[in-house]
Amino acid sequence: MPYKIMNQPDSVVRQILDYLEPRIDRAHVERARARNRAALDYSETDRAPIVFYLPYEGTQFAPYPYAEAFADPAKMMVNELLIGFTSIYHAVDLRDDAPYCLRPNLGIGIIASQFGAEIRLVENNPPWVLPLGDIATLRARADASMPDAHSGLVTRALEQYDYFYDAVKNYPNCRAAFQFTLPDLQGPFSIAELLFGSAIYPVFYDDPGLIRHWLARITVQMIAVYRALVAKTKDDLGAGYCYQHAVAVKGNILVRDDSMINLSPKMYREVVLPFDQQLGAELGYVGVHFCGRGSHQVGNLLQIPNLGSLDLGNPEMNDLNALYAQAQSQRVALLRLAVAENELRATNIAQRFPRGVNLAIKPTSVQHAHTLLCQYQNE
Amino acid sequence: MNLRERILTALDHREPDRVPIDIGSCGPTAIHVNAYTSLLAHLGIEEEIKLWDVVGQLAQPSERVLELLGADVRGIRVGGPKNGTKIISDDTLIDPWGITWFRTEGATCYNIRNYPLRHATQQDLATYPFPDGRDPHRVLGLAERAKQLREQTDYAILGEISGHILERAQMVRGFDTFLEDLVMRPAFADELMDRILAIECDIAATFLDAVGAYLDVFAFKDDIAMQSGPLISPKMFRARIKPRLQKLIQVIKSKTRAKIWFHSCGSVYYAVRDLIEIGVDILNPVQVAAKDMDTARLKREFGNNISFWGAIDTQNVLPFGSTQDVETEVKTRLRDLAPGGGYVLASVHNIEADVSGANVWAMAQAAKKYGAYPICV
Repeated sequence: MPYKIMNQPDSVVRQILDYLEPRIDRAHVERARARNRAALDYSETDRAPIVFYLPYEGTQFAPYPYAEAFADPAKMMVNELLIGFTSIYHAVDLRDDAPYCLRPNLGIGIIASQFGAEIRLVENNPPWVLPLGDIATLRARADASMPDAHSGLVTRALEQYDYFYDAVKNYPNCRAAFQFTLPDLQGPFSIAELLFGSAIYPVFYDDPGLIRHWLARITVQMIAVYRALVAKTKDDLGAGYCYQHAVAVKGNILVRDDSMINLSPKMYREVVLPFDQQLGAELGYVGVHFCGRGSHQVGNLLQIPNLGSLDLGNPEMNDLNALYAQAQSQRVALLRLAVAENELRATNIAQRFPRGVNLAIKPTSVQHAHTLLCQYQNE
Repeated sequence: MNLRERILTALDHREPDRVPIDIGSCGPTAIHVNAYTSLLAHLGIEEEIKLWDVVGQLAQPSERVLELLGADVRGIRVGGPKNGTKIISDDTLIDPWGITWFRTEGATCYNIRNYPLRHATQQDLATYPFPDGRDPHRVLGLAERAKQLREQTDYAILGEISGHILERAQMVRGFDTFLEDLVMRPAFADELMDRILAIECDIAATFLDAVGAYLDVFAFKDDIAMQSGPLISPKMFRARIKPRLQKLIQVIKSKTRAKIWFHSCGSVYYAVRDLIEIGVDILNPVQVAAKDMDTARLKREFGNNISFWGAIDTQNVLPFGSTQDVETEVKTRLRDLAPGGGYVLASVHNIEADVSGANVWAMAQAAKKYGAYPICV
């Protein structure tokens, strides 16, 4: 296997790009882009876009341990090509609606790191983010000067973009098809939880003003970091849209709001929502992501100005019909829906969710994905 | 066949006259005071409700109600040390471990407000005022109660301690912090768990010295799973938690012949074989809504070696279903778990505040109606 011989990461990147370049069908990529965009606009499409999260099953190349990829742009690019949200290595042959997305995969602590949170690499995990300290520490640091938007892991993210662009410069198909997307910037409250740790929850009772104060700082910082990074991205969906999680998003940014599902609707509305609204007001269309069951917060989320889409980390835990009814009334798109395998047919999806959705499916294998895609397209 | 024989026969993996029922013998099968109030209203009974557990707001069902429900088990729970719980205010208390619990307005139970060892170092563990597991105050009056149950009733008797090791470490340290400890500060984590284990062994020994001879079932708990899977990796569970659970079980078995009843919420499928290996006889609560907790498969794969106690869904069916749904749920679990014995019917964990009395009653009635052997559902 040539990789075993030429195992310098830059060489591996080139070998993978050599493999991908002739396989990329730019006409297909453009059709998928148009379908993704139209679906999010509640326009009519031939079918709802579908993305399969493909596992990497190749043997010619091997992904690197995460800690190595974290430290090395070439190794990170290898991993993004092989084991990103979907394996681009296989996706070029499947030809589902997956965009070929690469991102600086630096974990969830990019903005937290700028506020001083320690980032620690433990075993082969994504980075762990350690809270700043006890509540007294959070109080003491509440009025510290705002971090430089380019500090912390943002520097590393910018370096990664430079590497991506340089790597594909001699590969016109890759250069045209690849999307260099934003990293995971989290959302105001999720970042606050990273900084406070789980001790943040009693603070909602003891001192909600402290949380508001930090949320205000975090939101300002998040906007600054977004602006610092977005100019380096390559995202062909156009203004008001972006790719994240290897699907199309209606929103210039996907706000990760996982922690809000731990709150009561009242608590979220009174303390956190104003800052999510601020993002919507200042950044134009936003998408909001949450894992778990978020039905209790959807009414609140729909109050975010310019809300374009809701991204579900766990669609199986939500009442999709009820959620769709709520979202559809405001033409908010629902992202990454999933249905039972036997229901996975485009006509079924069109009846149940006529417009404004995309699907993300986790097959057991690449072959399984091919089978399901045929079934979905009624071939 | 009396009630105790019914239980013991079932736990011996043989079919008694009907599937035994447990409501309220211990923490994980107890009933919230709101649900109990609703049950009393449904039954048209007026009585003073006694609170059995403040933190969980669990009611002590009266004998009259337990008999109406057909409950076959009575429980004895180890007490706390003298002056162990400090009441700070109407909504705040500090338990013997130093954990601050509080109840927010409108909440149906207490939650942890302060983890006393959140910022502790390993040196701090040596000086921290851990509770005394040997405090005789823990068992005041329990031997008499157990003897009375044994000699004057034919109920099966379940004795209960907390037993938490992993879960207690999370309670004193913080859920997330202790998960970090296990990986980043393993010496700290192990010392903390060893200190907790030593206390739980002392509690078990003290309790069993008082009541061990009277017990049919000995219950302890430690949550090792969550809804979607293991709480920690199976490898870590086997290396760090399982040996400590095994040591506790060895202490218990040295002092009683009672069956060993272990409670863990969540998706514990991954650990059932391990639990059997270290001497667990009964698995509770069989959280059927969690991943991989298909009752037919559990019975098929493990039913010859472990009994199941629980399995009536409290996440969906009991709170949100109709009485017909409850009956269907009972029939499903009877069909899956009861054949050949090895099943005690109970709710999955507490019957929570939002469960109607009608549904509690429906569960008990369906258990009696369809639980007669041979099972025909």
